[in-house]
Amino acid sequence: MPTRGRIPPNQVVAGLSRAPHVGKAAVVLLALLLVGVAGAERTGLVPLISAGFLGFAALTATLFLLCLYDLVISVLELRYDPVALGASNRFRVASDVVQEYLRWLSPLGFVVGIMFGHYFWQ
Amino acid sequence: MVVTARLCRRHHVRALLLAVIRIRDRWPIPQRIVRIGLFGAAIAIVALLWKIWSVTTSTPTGLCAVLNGSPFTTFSYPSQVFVFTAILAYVAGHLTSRYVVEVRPELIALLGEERFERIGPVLVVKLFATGSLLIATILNVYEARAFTTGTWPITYFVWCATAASPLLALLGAATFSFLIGRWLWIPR
Repeated sequence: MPTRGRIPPNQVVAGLSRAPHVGKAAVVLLALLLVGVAGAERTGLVPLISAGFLGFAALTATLFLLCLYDLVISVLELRYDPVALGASNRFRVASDVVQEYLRWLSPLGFVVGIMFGHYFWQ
Repeated sequence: MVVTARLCRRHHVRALLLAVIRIRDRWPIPQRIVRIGLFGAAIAIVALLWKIWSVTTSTPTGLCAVLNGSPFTTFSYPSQVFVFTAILAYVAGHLTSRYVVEVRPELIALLGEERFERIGPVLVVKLFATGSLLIATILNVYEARAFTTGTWPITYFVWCATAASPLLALLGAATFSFLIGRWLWIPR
């Protein structure tokens, strides 16, 4: 395939772009962070309110790392693996049943989050 | 730098200009009104920034009653009013999004496919998502640190603003929730 001056497909990038176990690693990282925050709160290192915000920070930081990974791989694909350009299914969930539940993640997260945040905020 | 340079390439800018031209073709607005509108919007933004700055710097001593270093939490409306207004606005945002999809189904496409298959918009969306999460993380860490060190966290400024102008705070909460519902609760 003509690459029009691009560097030929790179095996490392191709392997990384398939996202091997990245989601599982993120879940493990999030669990470790939350356990660390809970431990810090229990030992008195961090007050309860700060621990709550640090818990949310752990969640957003994990999601940030996932997004950063996706962004970096997309940019690398732009240079090394133009065939994979535009591939949006890196984290696509194959199961229809799970996808059906995922649709409700946003409203459920909003309503539960605002209720929880409201009592926490007070 | 490389990513920025790629995103700012001429054909990406051209796509944006074409989109603007398409909007203008559909809803022709007199040029003078557009200029006056833009000028007014610029003044409003500057005034808003000045107001936010002056309120923010004077808040801990001026706008609201402070007890033991934190503002009072008694507001004109019960806090449940804010919660249910936000939820209703969120649902309303989703309903408007669903309406648009029903009226113009050709707008539906997954990122990276069909009308969104070009890499430019895909990278822009990913960049925005990454940046938003980074900002959210920084704000949460700042908030946690502020509660630990005793400086005013963002929460106190929001309490103070709500006490100073509950109606505006309610409007702000509703607007924010509406946009979240519109953008993040995507119809099928």
